[in-house]
Amino acid sequence: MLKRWLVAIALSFVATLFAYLTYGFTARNVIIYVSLVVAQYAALFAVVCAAHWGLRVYGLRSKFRETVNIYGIVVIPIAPLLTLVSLPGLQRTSLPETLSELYSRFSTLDDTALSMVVAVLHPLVVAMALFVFGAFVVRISGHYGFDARRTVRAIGFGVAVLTPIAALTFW
Amino acid sequence: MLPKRGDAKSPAIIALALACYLAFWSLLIWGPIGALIAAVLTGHSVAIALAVCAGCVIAAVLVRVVGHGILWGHRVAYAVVCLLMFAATAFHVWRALASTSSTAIFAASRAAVFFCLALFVVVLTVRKGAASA
Repeated sequence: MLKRWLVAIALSFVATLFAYLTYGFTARNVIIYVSLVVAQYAALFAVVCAAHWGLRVYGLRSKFRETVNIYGIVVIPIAPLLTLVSLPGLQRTSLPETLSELYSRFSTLDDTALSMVVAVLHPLVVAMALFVFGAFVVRISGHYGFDARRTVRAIGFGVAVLTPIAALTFW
Repeated sequence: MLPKRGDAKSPAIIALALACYLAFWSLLIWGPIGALIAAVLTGHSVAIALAVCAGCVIAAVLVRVVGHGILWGHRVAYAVVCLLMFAATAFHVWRALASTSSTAIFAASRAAVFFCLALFVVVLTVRKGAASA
């Protein structure tokens, strides 16, 4: 499992390097971009932890290692697209700036080509992410033999309650 | 092949229900907390904050009912989601027509996505031979 994750992280570094170059990547600010990649993996594990915790709270005996594997299998195909679309937002370094960016994205836009692309792709990515998460729930319930309805309630609870706490703690 | 209505193993239906349950817990827990923090930070009256809290709780209960209905295959729940999607589409179309330049593109893209989602839920709602839970 560790080997697979190391390969995935190395590939993500290579794949996102070209995108980072367009955002002014240089040898001087390499630490900032490395920390962004690490933050993405921390977010990934935070969501898995939240789902795992939610399942446990609802009395469903989830195994963390298997849940991480299933989440990785389901999410990794869409992750590059999510990363590319999220890059402008990830460049913000503090919570108020990020919230300000999100607010401006939902209210007014400038006329740059990048903003147009982000505006058009963002709702599609959100809808796709929701359906990918639905696939994750189905795979979890099928793998462990849990009732699908109970699994939905458990993961909904875990992700909605724990993920914001993890995000605030991280910031 | 599209999933049958009431089929709890379908990722599409699970995604719809999951969105409802995420909204339920967010509105129930983070909505009131956010309203109170905003009231403290901005200096608004406590009455307004409490009204927002009450609104969040009522909305959470409604969303929970819709989510439960989706999971158990009740046609009314799908119809509610459908209407919400069409309402969101209409709002964004209106915003696209009322604005210019990038904001119009922004609103039009959202209108297109909401319209596609609405059509998808319509298919789930009226699907012939749909299973009842």
